[in-house]
Amino acid sequence: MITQLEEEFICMVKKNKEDYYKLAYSYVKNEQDALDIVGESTYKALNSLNKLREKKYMKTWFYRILINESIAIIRKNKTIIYDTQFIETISENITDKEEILDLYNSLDKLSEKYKTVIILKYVKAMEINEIADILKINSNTVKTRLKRGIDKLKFIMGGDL
Amino acid sequence: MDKKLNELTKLHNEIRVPKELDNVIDNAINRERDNRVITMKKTNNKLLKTVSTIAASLVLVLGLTVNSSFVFAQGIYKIPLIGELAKMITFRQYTIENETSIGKVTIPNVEISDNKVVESLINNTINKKVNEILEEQAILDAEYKKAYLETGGKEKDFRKIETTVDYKLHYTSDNVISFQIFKYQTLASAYNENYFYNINLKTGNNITLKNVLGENYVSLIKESVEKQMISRMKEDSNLKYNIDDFKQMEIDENRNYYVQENGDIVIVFAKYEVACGAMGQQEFVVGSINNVRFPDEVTIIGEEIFSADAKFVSSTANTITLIINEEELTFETFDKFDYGKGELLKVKYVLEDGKKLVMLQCYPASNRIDLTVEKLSINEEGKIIIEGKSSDGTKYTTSIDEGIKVCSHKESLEIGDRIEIYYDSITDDKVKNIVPYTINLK
Repeated sequence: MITQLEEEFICMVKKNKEDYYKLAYSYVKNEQDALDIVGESTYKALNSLNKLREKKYMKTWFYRILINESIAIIRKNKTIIYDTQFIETISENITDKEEILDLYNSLDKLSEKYKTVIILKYVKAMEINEIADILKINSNTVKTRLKRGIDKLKFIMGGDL
Repeated sequence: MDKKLNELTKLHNEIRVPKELDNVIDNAINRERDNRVITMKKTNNKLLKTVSTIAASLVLVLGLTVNSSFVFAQGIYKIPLIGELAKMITFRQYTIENETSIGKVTIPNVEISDNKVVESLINNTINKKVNEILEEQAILDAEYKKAYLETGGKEKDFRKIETTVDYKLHYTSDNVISFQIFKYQTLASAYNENYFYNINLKTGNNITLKNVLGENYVSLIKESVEKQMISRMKEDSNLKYNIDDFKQMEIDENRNYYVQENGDIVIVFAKYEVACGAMGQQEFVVGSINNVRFPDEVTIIGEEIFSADAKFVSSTANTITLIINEEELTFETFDKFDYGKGELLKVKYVLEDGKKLVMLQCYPASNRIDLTVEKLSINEEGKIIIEGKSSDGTKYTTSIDEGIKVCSHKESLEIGDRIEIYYDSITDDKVKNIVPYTINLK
């Protein structure tokens, strides 16, 4: 039996798969882990779709699963395995390529709490309230975390931001 | 600084997506479905047992090694519904195979999001019917094979008998669902059978011809059908109805009928009933459901839902026996319950037809708390915390976690509301101090 909800869920995943992959990649910075995260999250979400009572939360709910899965993989791996090919694939239309990449990788030094809000806000370019919905925290908390996260980033990068 | 951070999005867009992504997602979906097939296999144990017993008795007669192998699930599909979104029919599909028979089964499932009681009543009826059909057929098939072998047929020439159980959705509206479950066989069309269901979605009750056509439904049907028979015979000289027989026929209010997509009520006469066998099943339009008024008030007619404390006695694949108020009662269910003997349970059940007992819900009493809400708050992380008191005065602070369910009959919670909390094997201690996950007040 496959319910309409499942059908919609599968449809959503297939439609936004690249988006999900890229989000996972932002956490783990390598292809294999990012693929695993998307696969595992899809499996887990389908498996517990019956716990999702309201369809309108499906999108944020899945992001949450994806983020939790990403964090779980990082914790498991302890260190982040960088994909060296990534640098080569970045096109030249990004100015200050090296610097941006440096910033991107510095995110990994932040704790999960701050890393997540910064990835969602700046890498994924989400709105504050969207982030609040996904993380189930209120908008002010998101803002606070963003501010503190950026402060910490500045510190990590030697005030170079 | 923000400028640099904003540049990160560009970088994000540059991330190359590997081709394997599609595979990974498909694998995840399939893996989940495979899991479900295994679960499905478990629920069909009952049938498996019946058929295996028959297979085993054949071993004795023939001295052959018989392994009944069950191959489940070719595919799992869904169909969209004709009616609105609130309810839909999905189905599960599987194949059962043993030494004698191949059964191809498609079981419909009704979903009514705002009325789970009626939903489980309808689905229980369907599941019970399909199981009955399959069990009967397995016995018939085994008898057929035995006869085939005894009359000189060879085991190696024996072709497995294929039975298909499927359904057809005829009509659905806010109030009514009309569908048909049918069985047909490759071997003998005499075994073909049809079961028609017209169900009131607000109450779960069957809608009879009397309900849709009124008190004088008999004369109405007789007149209408007779007229149609005469006009059909005029149009086609090959047709021959036994009008005299029909006039004598007793028309029961539970006679088979279905509702067409346009709302027409179609009465069905089985093969041989009103015409010669060659003409097959005969159908006549006798009215329209569009003229029928269903009461707006939602009441379960003649069926009260009872909540009770119970002690577990035993359970089979389709029954559960409990002690309620010192009386031992057996309920029909579709699940097997594995509780310990004497374990305390909280149950909800209905009386079907005033006598049959049907189980709706069953929980270990230790995994359930009733609370009166005393305080609702949102903690610093934005999670909703419920504080309440149980009937014995114990104070609880709780919210929702995986394995925890808060039930209320209202859309939103207010102070003073009575709620029920169910949880899986978590100690009371943890209930008092739960990390909230999500809230659901349905």
